[in-house]
Order: sequence, then structure tokens, then C-alpha cells
Amino acid sequence: MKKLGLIILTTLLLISCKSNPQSIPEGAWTYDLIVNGIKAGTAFVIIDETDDLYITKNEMSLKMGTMENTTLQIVTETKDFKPVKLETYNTIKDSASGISQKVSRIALFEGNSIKLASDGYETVINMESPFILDGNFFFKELMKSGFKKGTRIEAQIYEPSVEMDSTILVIVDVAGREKVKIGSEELYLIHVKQRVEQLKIVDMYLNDEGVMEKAVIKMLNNVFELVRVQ
Amino acid sequence: MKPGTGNSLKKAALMIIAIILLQNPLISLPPSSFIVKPENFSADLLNRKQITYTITYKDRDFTLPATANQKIISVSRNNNSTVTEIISGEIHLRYSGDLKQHLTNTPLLRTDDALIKKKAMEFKNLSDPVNAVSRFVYNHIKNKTTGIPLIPAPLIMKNRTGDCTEHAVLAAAIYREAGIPARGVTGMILADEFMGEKNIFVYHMWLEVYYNGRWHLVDPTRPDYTNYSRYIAFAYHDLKTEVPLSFLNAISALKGLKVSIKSVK
Repeated sequence: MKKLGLIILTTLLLISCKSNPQSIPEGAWTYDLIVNGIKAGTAFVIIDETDDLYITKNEMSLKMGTMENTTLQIVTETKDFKPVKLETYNTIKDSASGISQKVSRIALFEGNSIKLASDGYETVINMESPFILDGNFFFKELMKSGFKKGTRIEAQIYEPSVEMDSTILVIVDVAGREKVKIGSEELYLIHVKQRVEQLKIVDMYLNDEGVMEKAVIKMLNNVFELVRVQ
Repeated sequence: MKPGTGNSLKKAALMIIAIILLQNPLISLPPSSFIVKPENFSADLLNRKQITYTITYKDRDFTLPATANQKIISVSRNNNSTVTEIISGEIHLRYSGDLKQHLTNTPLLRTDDALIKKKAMEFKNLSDPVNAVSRFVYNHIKNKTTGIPLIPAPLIMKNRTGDCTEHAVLAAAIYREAGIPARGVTGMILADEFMGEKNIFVYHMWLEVYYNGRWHLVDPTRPDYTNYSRYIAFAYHDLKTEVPLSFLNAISALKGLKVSIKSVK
């Protein structure tokens, strides 16, 4: 009984010692993309900071049979989260045929006006209301709340892979801390849910530093996971 | 600079929404990543004009669309799931909406491209341009392969490689430039055989084309196929972006999907 009490006390102390992310840092991270339990690709994230800007590069490679798709997205935003530039470059290589294709899309922002260019296609879109890019805004707001359970942050996002000529509502909820098994390890992580409009899209699990250890997305009968490579 | 600290929260979110979805896993992964074995299947059901399906999924808010081949009979919801009964088959959809939106150029269709314009001209004065375009696309895409994310129609035209999504995008571009309204549909098709499995539903994309006052199902991967009772639609795809909200809504809602064959006609 004494031993059980000690275990409970130790657990409580460990839980109470948990800290939350305090700043927006720069860095680089690598993840495995796992589809229905099988590794299907790799993702990299690199974040740079200048005096005025955050620049975030995300790259994901997906290999299926002879096809390899690589998508690079670069988000440039001001330190107060005003959109500057959103670039997406997609490369598709087929090792069987030797064919390689490149597709790009670049959005330049000036206030609520967006100049969108995609391999010769150009259009100018004027939004009625302000919006942000899917950059650092949510993280900053969650930091302000101390990642407190029940916190909800909402913002209108411009994401041209979903909607080209309108913004979309993105909602982030903090669900609290949970024990999550990653590999053979059991970690006590912050559970954050991200939605697009009212759709539950992503469950993310973060460690004390705010590093995402695991993300889960379910679509149709598939489970897609991103698991951090140590 | 310290790797592995807080900003990965937001970046991870970005990766999933903008990168995983941008790569559109259900489209760029092989169709085998989404297959559903129907319950109550028997061989005598094949080649019927209409089939009534009971479709069950774990979302209480989502409703399957009525389409050119799909009629919603009933929708019932309980605490954990939605049960929808549909008839799939030759049900051509009347339409009173604005057809202009189904003729417009988009970054995916690129109907302003010289290659697309030139090809569309060839079909403008034919007696049956709908079938002719579908047949052309089927023959033109020589390398039938999966694993390509949604790419613009001129690239598909040049490289002649792809699966159902490339067939649908290229055909839609030619239809629209030829003045024939076309729109994308995502869903699944009951295949005779796929990856060694017989009589299973596989993820699929096709088109609806407007002529004679109604929308008609057109599948450029199967230009001679008229068995429309094998198609179950999840959502329309506006062919503007990789993952439009209508499509995202469907693939997010349809979890734990089960299909049962109820009756045939």
C-alpha cells in the first residue's frame, strides 16, 4: 500500500512538473509518414527567422511503387502574422518511365489582395476580410493561454490547396494532457485538435517543449500518422 | 537555435493540412489504400441497371450527395453512426443551377493552355462529343499508373500518364473548353477484381457532363462502361484545388464505412 502511494505521489509530482512551451523558436524536425501502420514517406520542417519575418519550410516525400511525390511548401509571414508569400512546389518522378513533372503555385499578398500564379495560370483575388497563413499565429495564441485545457483559438486561413478564392475557418482546441504510446515508450503529452471548418481533421500530441511527437489523421477507412524521428 | 522546440506544433498542423492533404493521400496513394468489401454480394447482382445500397459510417452530420447516378432514399442517424440508403444506377440529374461555373478555367484544368484549346477544337462539331472526348482521354493516357497527385491538365496531356484522377482532370478540361459543362465526382466503384480481391469497392474519381438538359455520369477510365449502378458518390470536386472543402468534408466524415447491397433492379 505504501509502495502504491509512493508511485501515485511520484506520478503526481511528475505531472505537476510539466511545463508548457514558452517561445516560438527556430529549428528543424523530421517525421515518418505512416499509412495504416506502414511507413510511406518522410516529412521535414525547417523554421527560420529574420528581423521581420518567419519563414517556414515543410517538405514531404511520398513513395509508392515507382512513383515518388515531393511537396515543398514555404510560408513567409511577418512577425505580427501578416501574410507575405506562400509557395508550393511539387515534383513527381516515375522511375519506371523516367518522367519527371514539376508543378508550382505562388501566392503573393498585399493586404487582402492575393496574386496567385500557378504554371502560367494567374489570377488576382480580393478577400473581403483579413486572414492569416497557416503559420505561427496559433502557436503564439496557445502560448498566451499556457496550453490550458479547453482553450480554443479560431482564425480565417488562406490555404489555396483547399479553397482558392475564399478563406477557411481553422479551429484549434487544447484537449489536455494524455498518456500516448509511441513505439515502445509511453509519454505524457499535450493533446491538441485541429479542425478545418467543423471537420475534425487532426489529433496532435506535443511534448513539454511543444514539439509534436505524433499526429493522427483519419480519412475514410485510413489512418495517417506522422511520428517524430528522434 | 534549438531544434525540437515549440514551433513544431503549428508547423505540424501545417504539414498535415497543407502538405499531406496537398499530396492528397487518397488520390496519390494506390487505390488499394481504400477498399471496401460489400456485404450481401452475389454474382447475379452484376450488370444490373440499379442497385440499392445501405451505407453506414461514423458521422452524424454528413450526408451523401444526390448525383447523376445516385438517389438518396433515406437517412437515419443514431448515437454512433449514420445509415443511408441509396439507389445507384441510371438516374440522370436534372439541374436548374448556373452552368457557367462548370465551364470556367481553373489552375487544375488550364483550359487557356494551347494544347487543351487545340484538342478541344477537334471535338466541337462532332455529333457525339461527350463519348469522343472520353474515348480520346482513355486512349491518350497510355501509361495507366497510380500514385500521382492532382496535376494540371496540360501536364497530363504531355506526359500521358495517370490513373482515374488524371483521366477526369484532362477530360474535364477538354469538355469545358469545348463548351460542354463538366464537374468532378469522388467516390468509389465496385470493381470485378482489384489487387487480387474480387468484387470490391475501390476509391475512384469520375465526371458528370451536362447534355440534353441533364447531368450524366462519364468515366473516362471506362469509356464503354455503362454500368452506373456500380458507382457510389461521396462528394463533388470543384476541380479548382486539390482538396476542396466538399471533398475534405466527405473523406473526413466517412470513417468506418460499410456498404451492404440491399436489392437490385
